[in-house]
Amino acid sequence: MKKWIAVLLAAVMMLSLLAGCGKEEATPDQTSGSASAGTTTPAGTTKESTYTYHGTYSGVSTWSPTDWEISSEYDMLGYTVTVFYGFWMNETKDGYDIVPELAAELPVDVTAKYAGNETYGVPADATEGYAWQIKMRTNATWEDGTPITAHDVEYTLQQFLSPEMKNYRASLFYTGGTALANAEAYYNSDKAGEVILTCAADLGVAFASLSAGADGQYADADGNKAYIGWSVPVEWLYGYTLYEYSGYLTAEDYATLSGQVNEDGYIPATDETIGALFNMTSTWGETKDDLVNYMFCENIAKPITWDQVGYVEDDTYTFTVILKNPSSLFDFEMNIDNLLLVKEDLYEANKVDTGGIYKSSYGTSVDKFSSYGPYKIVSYQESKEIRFERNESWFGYSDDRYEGQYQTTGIVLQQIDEHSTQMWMFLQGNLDSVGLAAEDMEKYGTSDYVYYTPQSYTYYLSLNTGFDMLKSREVAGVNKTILTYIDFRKAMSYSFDRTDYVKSCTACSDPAFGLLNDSYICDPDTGATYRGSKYAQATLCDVYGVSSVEDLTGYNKEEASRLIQSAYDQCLADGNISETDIVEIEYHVYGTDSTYQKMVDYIQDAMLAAAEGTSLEGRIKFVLVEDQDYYTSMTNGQDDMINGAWGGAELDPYSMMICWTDPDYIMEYGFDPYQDLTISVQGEEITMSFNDWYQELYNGTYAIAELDVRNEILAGMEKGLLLNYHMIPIYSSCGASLASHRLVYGSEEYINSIVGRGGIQFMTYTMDDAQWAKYCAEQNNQLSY
Amino acid sequence: MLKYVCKRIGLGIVSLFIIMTMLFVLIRMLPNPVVAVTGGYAKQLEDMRTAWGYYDPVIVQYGIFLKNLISDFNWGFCTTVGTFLQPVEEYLASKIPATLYINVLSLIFSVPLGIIFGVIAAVFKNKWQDQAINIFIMIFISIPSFVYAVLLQYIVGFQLGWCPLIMDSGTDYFSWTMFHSAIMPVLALSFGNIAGNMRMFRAELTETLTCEYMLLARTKGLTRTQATVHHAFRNSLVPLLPSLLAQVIYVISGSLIIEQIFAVPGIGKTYLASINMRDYSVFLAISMFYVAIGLAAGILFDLSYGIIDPRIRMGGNKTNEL
Repeated sequence: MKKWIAVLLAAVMMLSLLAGCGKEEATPDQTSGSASAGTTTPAGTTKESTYTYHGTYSGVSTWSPTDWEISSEYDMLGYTVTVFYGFWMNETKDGYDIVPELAAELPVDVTAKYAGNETYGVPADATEGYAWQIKMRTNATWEDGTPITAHDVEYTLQQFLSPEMKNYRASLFYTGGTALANAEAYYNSDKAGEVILTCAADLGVAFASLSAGADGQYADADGNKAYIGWSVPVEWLYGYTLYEYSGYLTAEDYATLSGQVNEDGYIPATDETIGALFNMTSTWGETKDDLVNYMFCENIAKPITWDQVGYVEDDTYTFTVILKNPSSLFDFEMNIDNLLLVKEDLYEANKVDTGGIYKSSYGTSVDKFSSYGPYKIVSYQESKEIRFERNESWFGYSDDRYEGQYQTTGIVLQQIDEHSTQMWMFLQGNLDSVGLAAEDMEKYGTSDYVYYTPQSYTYYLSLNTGFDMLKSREVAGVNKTILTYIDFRKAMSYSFDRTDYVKSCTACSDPAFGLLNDSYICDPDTGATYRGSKYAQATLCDVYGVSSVEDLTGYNKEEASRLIQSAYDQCLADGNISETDIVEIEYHVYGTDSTYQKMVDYIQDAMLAAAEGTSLEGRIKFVLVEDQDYYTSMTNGQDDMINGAWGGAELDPYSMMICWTDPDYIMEYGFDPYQDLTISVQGEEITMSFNDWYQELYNGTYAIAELDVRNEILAGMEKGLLLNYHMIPIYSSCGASLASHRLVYGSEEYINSIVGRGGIQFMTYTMDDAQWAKYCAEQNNQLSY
Repeated sequence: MLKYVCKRIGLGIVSLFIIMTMLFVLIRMLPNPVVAVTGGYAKQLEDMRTAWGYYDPVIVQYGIFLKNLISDFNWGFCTTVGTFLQPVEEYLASKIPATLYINVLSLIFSVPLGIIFGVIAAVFKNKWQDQAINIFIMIFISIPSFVYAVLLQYIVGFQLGWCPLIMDSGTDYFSWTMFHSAIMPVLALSFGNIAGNMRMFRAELTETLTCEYMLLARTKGLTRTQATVHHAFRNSLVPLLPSLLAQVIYVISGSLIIEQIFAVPGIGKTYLASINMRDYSVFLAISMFYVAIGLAAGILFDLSYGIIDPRIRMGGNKTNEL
């Protein structure tokens, strides 16, 4: 009997599996479920039609406005909130319009009303930029229909800055463009009455006012002891610690400082420790006055109440924010969009004591979040799937300004880690867009459905030009110091065709010739790019020796050969290379995968080709070295070449110069940012160091200069850097994706980093879900792109 | 026997404690993730980590952890992995079902098939049936599971369209759509196990079939089938059963890549993320989950010998030993 039961069991299992493999028509809706039909009808939509966007996401932990950390979390918020001022794709699809959304009208500068207000610290002579009044629309509601008022704004700001919660996004409102008056002190008010250590610079303590006490430790005029921060974040070092910069200290100074660190990470400031610190900072061009930025003085934390923070509720739907620092209208409109609201009852109900602080689990599940944007979350399975539906309580669906927008009635995002899986699902019609990898480009690179999205990052070869460090790493028969000869570096720049390089080695990048690419907008009002300015174009023409940017290739093999020979002759004459030495350049990369191998092979082949017929023919070798800390290695001169890249801050190209002129940022060992640079500014030749140029451009004389002047200086700095050839631009990164047959973006062309192609707001579909499912089935769920 | 079981459980608890202590210390020795954060958020992270005691001496942290664990069975809460602030034990409880679902189905599928084909191979030793099964064994043992996972996904899921490419969302594990979507991950997990079971059972049964008592059974008048089923089969299970228990551990810990390929919202891929993202609580809880299963399985292995083969006695005095 038992044997028959066993046989029967096995047979049932086999049959069930075989039955499970039976073919049936897979339609997109089988994986998506059905999105609820909208109750209002945007243009082109019928009441019966549903348009469900199927996409992927990379995982979220929380989408709470006060605690989100990664971009996919912010993307989730993006569907469910309404910002005060929307940056909408304009009618001509070449820029944006700033449109009040949660706000009823544009912000009003009411600085005059608060000028001289001691509570908020607004200067008496301030006339603009400190205080902004926002009138909110009166018909905005949460998804349950509760009206949104100025009280919600106040409650949200209180939570952002709560000293009891220490929320991740708190600094959005105590530093930067929307730092409220007294917000930082309020955030730290849990330490009120305690002796705390505060950065001496923030306390307004001048270095000259510090003096050594009987025990040798420095103190301020009131006798408050001073310390040097060692393993604590230092704002002057952009939040890094001095310890992380200890590589710049001599061994003796390191021993002096590290030997006196107390358990809290501070070093008593004495003649000895200050001297050791200054030995390092002076090499960065800093003065003794700058030392207060590394020093911390004891002081009693002052109690700050919410009333003293720069927020005033004028009436139920009007509020004013008073800023720590003045802001332009554009910056304010842009930055205030960081203020995403939380719903008080839900936020409070989900607060828990997590030990020393309270945290709220708001934004971690459907029932712990409330939408006030075009979509609401209807289901969420951690690390699997999120579903959105239209939020019918959203004011926009009954507002004429939104007519024809938000055709999408539902959104389904799935976490699919494997690219191949994503691709097959897309080809079956189960996803509406998919990102492309390098291996996809051959097949889909020229598809009618491919979209390229430029990114701000420009990749370049970063070269070590420090003679001593290169020399110290040479072994018998190997030369590296030829990298210190500018002709050799220039030859590298001329040796390869960037257009061919990006085709051969990257997925879909654009060749790069400058340090800043087309993503950088120098005039937010018009959307004009820095790269499009006459000064930026002239820089590239001058550097690459062409008369027009249209002629740029960066490739000149004959010139490269001449320069190789020239560099070799100089190097030989200086006794730095022998007639049999091989030039070996170590190319440090994060991982030695095929992509990097392709890159190094390409560069080696190009240089070998350029060296043909010269004394270095066959004597140049590039070696790929895996180094997961390659940035640090380059900063310390421990490698010869890496791939450098900087990006971000697309609306402020001037700020980007910090990356290449500030010692705290510069990666290329051997480059001295304090060397002189002469720039012609409106016809006047002015000379100062690279670093000073940056300071003057960003914080000093030229910070508020005319756009034309600022562009001229920026282009002059870029030219100075490029002509040093310690950074050789190669390509600008670019993302590529496929859109499904039914998807239509607001703009076919990528407009800029602010509006992209119009986003989901302007996205439309040529087929609704039912038509799409039928269409995919007709194609046997094997769509062709 | 009871004394032996108690002793093993006691030793298991001690081992668990030692491993937990080591893991607690080791994960905290990894570099501080705050160092890599820029943009002004480092301070808030520092403040949070300070409040949560991450900068206290490790021994103090461990004391607090043990206190919470013993008094409330509180393993902490998710910080960077999973759902923010969700109690870890609750989070793991939400992840385990998906992992168990595909692994239990895989076991249900692979064990009988492995045994059936193993019997066929042994009975038809050196005949074409045996050769065919041996080829199957060679292929599926030597190829890693993620290879045929991708092949299955491409051929069965994409080209033929017989099964969904990824596992269905939701928690309705007894629905047809969920079972349908789990077929490919289950098959991918099963191939290696089927081949392993076949190989082992074939070897055991082949050896058993050549024993003298089998000859005696045949001379008593039993048919070949009767002798095989009643005498050889059970004896061949003795070494197989412990290995089946080991497979329970293997499939749970080894499903990381399968979970990733088929988007199974299980515990496997969470584990790696907890290390990379320094979620101490999640890492420790998952680690201890695996360790506890491993230790429990070890005890079960040993006990199972005695149950399968009554001649084997565990932990008894010398008079009970063979």
